Amino acid sequence: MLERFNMVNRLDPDPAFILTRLDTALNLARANSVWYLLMGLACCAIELMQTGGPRGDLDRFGSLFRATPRQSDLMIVAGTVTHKMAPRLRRLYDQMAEPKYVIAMGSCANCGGLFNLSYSVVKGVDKILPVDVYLPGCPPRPEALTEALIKLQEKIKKEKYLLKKD
Amino acid sequence: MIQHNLPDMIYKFLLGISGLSAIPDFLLVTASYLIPSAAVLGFVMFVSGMLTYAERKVSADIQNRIGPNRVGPFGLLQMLADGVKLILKEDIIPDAVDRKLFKLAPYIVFSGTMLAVTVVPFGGPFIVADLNIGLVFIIVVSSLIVVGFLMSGWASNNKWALLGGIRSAAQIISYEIPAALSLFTVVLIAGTFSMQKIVMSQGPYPWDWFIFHNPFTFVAFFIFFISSLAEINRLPFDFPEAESELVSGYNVEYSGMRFALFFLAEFANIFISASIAAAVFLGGGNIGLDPYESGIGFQLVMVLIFFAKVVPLCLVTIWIRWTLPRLRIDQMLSMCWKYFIPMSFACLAMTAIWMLVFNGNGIFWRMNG
Amino acid sequence: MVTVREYFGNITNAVRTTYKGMKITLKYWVKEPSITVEYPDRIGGLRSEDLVSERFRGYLKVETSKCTGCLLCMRVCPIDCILIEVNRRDDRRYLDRFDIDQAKCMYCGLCVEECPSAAILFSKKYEGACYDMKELCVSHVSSPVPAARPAKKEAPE
Repeated sequence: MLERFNMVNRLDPDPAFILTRLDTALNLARANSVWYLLMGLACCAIELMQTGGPRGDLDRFGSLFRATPRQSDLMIVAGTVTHKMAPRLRRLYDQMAEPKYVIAMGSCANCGGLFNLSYSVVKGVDKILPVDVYLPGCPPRPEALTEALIKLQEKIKKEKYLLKKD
Repeated sequence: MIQHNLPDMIYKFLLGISGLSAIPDFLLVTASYLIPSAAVLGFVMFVSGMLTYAERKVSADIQNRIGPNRVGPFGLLQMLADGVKLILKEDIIPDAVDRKLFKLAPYIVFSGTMLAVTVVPFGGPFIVADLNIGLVFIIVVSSLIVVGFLMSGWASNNKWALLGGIRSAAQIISYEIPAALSLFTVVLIAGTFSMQKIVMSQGPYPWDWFIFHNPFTFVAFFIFFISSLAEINRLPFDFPEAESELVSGYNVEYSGMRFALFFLAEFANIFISASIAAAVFLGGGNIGLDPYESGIGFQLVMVLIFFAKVVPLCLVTIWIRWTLPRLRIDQMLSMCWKYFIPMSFACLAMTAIWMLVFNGNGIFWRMNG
Repeated sequence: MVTVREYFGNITNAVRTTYKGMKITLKYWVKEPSITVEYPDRIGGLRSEDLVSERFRGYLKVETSKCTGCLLCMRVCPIDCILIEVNRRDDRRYLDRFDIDQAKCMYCGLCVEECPSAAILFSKKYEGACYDMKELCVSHVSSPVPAARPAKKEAPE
C-alpha cells in the first residue's frame, strides 16, 4: 500500500545522508591524527627515525610517536621479523586499541626480503598480522614512508565507520 | 551597588532580567555559581588544547623542523583532530586491573586540576570564587593529583606503571614544600591569602610587582617556578612518565578518553602554575584600577594584561622541556630536600626580617598606608 | 657531605649551565630556519625524482629492446626476484616473461652490474606504497618480445 501511494521515498529519506556526512567528518579527524608506535626492529628503523626527524617530518601530518601500544593507532613494522620476535609482535598488536592499522615497511616486512630463505625469519609480517599498506624498499626513503602514510590516510578517509553494514 | 564577587554580580544580573525572578532563589544562586564555573572550565580546556598545539610547534621550531601544518591553516585544527580521535578509540580495560581504581584515577587527577582553576584570578572581576584562603586552597588541591597518580599506578597491574606512580607521588609531595614556602613569602608582604587581594596589592608597573620587592622574593619566584614544574611532572622532572625509560609510566594501560583526561590535565596544570606565578609574583591583571568598579573596557584590558604575563611563562615551560635532560629520581629528590627547601626557608625568614627592618617597604615599593 | 663552598658552587653551576643550554635552544627557536623538505606538496616545483642523487637505486627499469635474454640477471640475483622466460620460436628467441618482484628486491645492484647490454638499470622511482602486495610484482613484457641480438665483439688485435 505504501508503494501504491508512492510514500516510500518521501517518508524514508536517505538514512545514510547524515551518517555519511558524519562519517566523513569523523574519518577526517581520525586520519589527521595517526599516532604511531615506535616499532623499530632493524635497519628500516633508522629510516623511520629519520622520517620523524627534521628533514622528513611526520609531525606535519599530526603523527606523534607513542611508546605504549595502548595509545597508538598505527604500528609501522620496520625491519626483519624473526621467529623469536614474532609472538611479542603479535602481543603488541593485540594490545593496541581499535581502530588500528599496520604498515609493513621494507622488503623484510613485506615478504622476508633478503632473508627469505632463512630458517629463522618470518616470511613477511602479513603471516602474523593483517597489513594495510605495503611499502617496498631496502630501506625505503623517508619520502616513501611519508607517501605510505598518505595512502593510509586516504584509506582511513574512505572507511565506513558508522555505516558498517554496507 | 556593585558586589565585589563575580557570582553575586551574575545573580543581580539574572534578577534584573524580567521573567527570571519567578524562579526560586536557590536555583538562581546555583546558576550564578554554575555559569562562571562552566565558562572557566570550558575556557581552560580550550587553553589546554592550544598548549598541546603550542608545544608541538615550539618543539618543532627548536628542532629545526615544522610542526603540524597540514590539518588546518597553520595546523590550528590539530587539537580538534586529536581530541576527536581519542574519543573514538576503543576503551580497553585490561583483565587484571583493579576496575574501580582504574576508572576513578583519571577523574581524580582531572578534578584536582579543575578545582584549582576556580581560584585563579583571570584579571578584572573574573575569578570564580574569591576565597579568603585562596592560596592555601590551591596548594591543598594540587595534592589531590598525587592520589590520582598513585591510584593509576597501582591499579594498572603493571610494574612500570607502579614504579611511575610511586616515583610521581614521591616527587610531587617533596616539591610541594618549596612551592608552598615560596608562595608564603609573598603572603608576608601582602598580608592576605586571597588571590584577588594579592593581585590588587601589587601595582601596574614592573617595579611594583612582588618579584622586585626584595631580592628574596626574586629567588622565591624561581624556586616556585621550578617546583611547580616538578609538581606537574614536566621535564626536567619527567621521570614518572618518561617515554624512553618507563614506557609512559603511569599512563601505560590507559587508552582513548581516559588517556585524554590525563593528557589534558597535564597541560591545564601548566596553565594553572603559570597563572599562579603571574598572579602572585608578577601582578597579573593589575592596571591600577579597581577591578569591580571599572567599566567593562578596562576589565577586558586587565584580562589581556594577565594573559600577556601568563603566555610567556607557558612558553618558557615548553622551552625548558626541550632544553634540559631528565633528572634521575635520586638527583631530583636530593635537589629538593638539600637545596630547594633550605633555600625557600631562607627566603621566607629573610623576607620576614626585611619586612621588620624596612617597615614593609621594598626596594622600589612603598607600602600604601 | 659537601662543604659550604661546594654547596654554593653547585647552585651557581646549575644556574650557569641551564642558562647556557637555554641560550642555545633560544637561538634555534628564533633564528635557525627549518630544514624540512615538505614532501609531497611543497617541494619547490621539483618532482620527487629530483630529490634524490644521481646514482640513486630506485625501482629497476628494463628496456626490453636491449635485452638479449642471456638470463645473467636472473641467475645472479641472490634472492631470485627476477623471473625470465625465453623461448625459441621460428628461429628467433622471444622473451615471454620478465617479472621483477619489487617487494622482495633488496636493491643490491648485482643484476645491473652483470647485464652486458645495459638493459636493466636503476630508475629513480621510489614511491611504491600499495594496499596489496600483488601490485608490487612488476611485469615488463605484456606480450612476447623478440630478444635483441648481442653486440658483436671485435677481436683484440
